[in-house]
Amino acid sequence: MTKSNIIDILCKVSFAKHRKKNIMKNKIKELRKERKISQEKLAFAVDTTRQTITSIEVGKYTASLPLAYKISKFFELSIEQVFDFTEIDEELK
Amino acid sequence: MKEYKKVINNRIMALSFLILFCAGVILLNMKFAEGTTMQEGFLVSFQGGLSVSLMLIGVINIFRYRSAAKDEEKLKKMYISENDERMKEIRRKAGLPITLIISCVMIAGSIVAGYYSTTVFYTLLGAGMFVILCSGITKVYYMKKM
Repeated sequence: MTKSNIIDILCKVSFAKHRKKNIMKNKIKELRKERKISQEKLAFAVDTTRQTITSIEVGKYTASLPLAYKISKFFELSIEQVFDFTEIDEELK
Repeated sequence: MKEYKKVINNRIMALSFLILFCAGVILLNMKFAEGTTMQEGFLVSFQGGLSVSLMLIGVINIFRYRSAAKDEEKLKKMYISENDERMKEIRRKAGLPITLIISCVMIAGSIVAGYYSTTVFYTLLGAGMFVILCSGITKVYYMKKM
């Protein structure tokens, strides 16, 4: 992960937090079901609670950059592969 | 986790002092309440009930912390539940911990004032309870929203 990639993701996540709708789509539920991992297990692995994972999956809560990074690292994917930034990219254009 | 273990041990000590303090308050009322407003039924029973409940909460939490300190997994779960970012955000939006501190100071003030004036006692108690209620409602609202 280069410095420019980190800055780019930081800007997108902080922009997402201030958007009116504040809904960040993600593929966490699908990835969890693929690998047969419970919310409890994922939450314990990324140092958060099951309720937070539920809120992130349904889009009620936007994860912070460190948490998003931990979740992506847990699934061995990049942040862009786990979290959907397409709406933010369109708004930034 | 080592630093959090130290935090847990400090909390156990603080709770032990709280239990002793509450026991002291109950004994104080039994021996020296005569001639003060603390002779009144509601005031003395409120203070007694509050002291006993604080002692019970202290004892329960001491047992909880001691069992967590012995088990690494329980300790981690406790650490996670206290430091979860979503809960921190909810507490921040609900005005915690400042509203809790303010209401505890008001209730403590009401207990002290209760020895001299029942009007001040009821006013401060009512205000303290109202602040706790508002904070609780706000917290529940944000827990549903987030």
